[in-house]
Amino acid sequence: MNIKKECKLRNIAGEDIIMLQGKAGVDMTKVIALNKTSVWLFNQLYGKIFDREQVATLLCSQYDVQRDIAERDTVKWIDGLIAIGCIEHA
Amino acid sequence: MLKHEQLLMLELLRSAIWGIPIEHVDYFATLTTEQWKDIQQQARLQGVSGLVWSTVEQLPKEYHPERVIKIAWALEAEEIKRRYLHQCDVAATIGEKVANAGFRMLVFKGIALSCYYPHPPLRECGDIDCFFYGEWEKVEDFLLNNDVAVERLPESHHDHWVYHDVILENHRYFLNSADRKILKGLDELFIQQLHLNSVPFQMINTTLYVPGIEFDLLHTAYHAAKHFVGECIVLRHLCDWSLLVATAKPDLQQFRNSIESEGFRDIIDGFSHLSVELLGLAPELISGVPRKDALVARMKEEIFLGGMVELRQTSNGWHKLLIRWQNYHRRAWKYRLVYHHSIWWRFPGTFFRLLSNPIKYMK
Repeated sequence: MNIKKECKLRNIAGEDIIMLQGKAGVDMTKVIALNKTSVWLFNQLYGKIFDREQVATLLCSQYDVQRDIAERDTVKWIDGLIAIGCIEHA
Repeated sequence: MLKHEQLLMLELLRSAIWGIPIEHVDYFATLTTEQWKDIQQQARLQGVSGLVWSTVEQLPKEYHPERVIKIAWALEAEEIKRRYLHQCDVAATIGEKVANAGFRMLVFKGIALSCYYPHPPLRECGDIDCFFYGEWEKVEDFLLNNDVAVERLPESHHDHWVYHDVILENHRYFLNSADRKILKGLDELFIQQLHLNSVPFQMINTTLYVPGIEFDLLHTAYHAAKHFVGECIVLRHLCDWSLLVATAKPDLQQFRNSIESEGFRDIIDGFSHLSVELLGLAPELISGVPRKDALVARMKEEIFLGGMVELRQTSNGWHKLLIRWQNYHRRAWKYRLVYHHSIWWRFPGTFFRLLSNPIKYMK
């Protein structure tokens, strides 16, 4: 899978958010706010092809976190991006 | 009596339109999420959402509304700016096309009035209103061959164009046919003012034209009065009026005297006093303007409560007809005030239109 090109990370009113920027502006239902870890993941993976295992490995390498917790957080992170249409399957 | 949230929204709005610090920052420290939602909703209904947000974001961070409200509001303000800039692009593109063919394009209302705002893109604009100094038909013939969708509306005072998702209203006149019969001479005055006093205005790489202050004052007053009679006025209309008066500092006495319709004059007086009361316009700018307390109170009520029952509250066609009938009644006093005629004078025409196309009025 990969993050769609039109999916942008923005800082709006001091909050980091991801949104799909369409031709007609922003669809408010396709916006999610991110914490610092999610922002870091997004920046690491934007423009790359990846799978769940790789995301969990990235998390474990950067943060002091157990594998099973990293895998659970990976699922949440990817599901969040899928929900707003930011992920496409390569 | 205004609600606490309405008063706070007005405080934020005053700060935005005059570029002044918020007077009572501490009032925002203890607001609940529900109160913030109310303020946001009020700002949206009044057509000043972007302006109010521009002040909210300057509040100390610990006073900000919760994250969900903040992000939604910030994005809404951003969308208002994006639409505005897109409209400017479209106006410039059309202006350039017609200029190359030897026509002059004047824009009024939205884009033109935004110039009086400290941050023009935050003034919400609907469509682009334009005027071609009497050459509207020639311009349309030209544009029909230049990728612009033209919808000719023979009964109307303007035609519609659509270009890159933006609607442009190409005005032949400024008053609709019903108003032209009553407010005699006003249209001719508008046209005369544009021919005499419009000024060049640089829009991106194109020179467009905008009206002089005399037209802006008269047309803003007329437009707001028309909204007042037809639906209701919102704070955005009042902001336009306040900023115009503050910028141009007109002799309002003289301006009032130039208007024949006494009711129209009363409305302008009401706007002026409400601009002082609600938006903090300097009182000396309206000195000598008579105040009719009962009318000002009623106008204020209409701004915050809305004068009409909303059609969208039902999907039943017969219910919609009933609501229209109720609204017709509700408009009666405003109609008499502005036009000095009973609204029932128009009833045969309205009834005929209803009979000829009842489905339209049940939607």
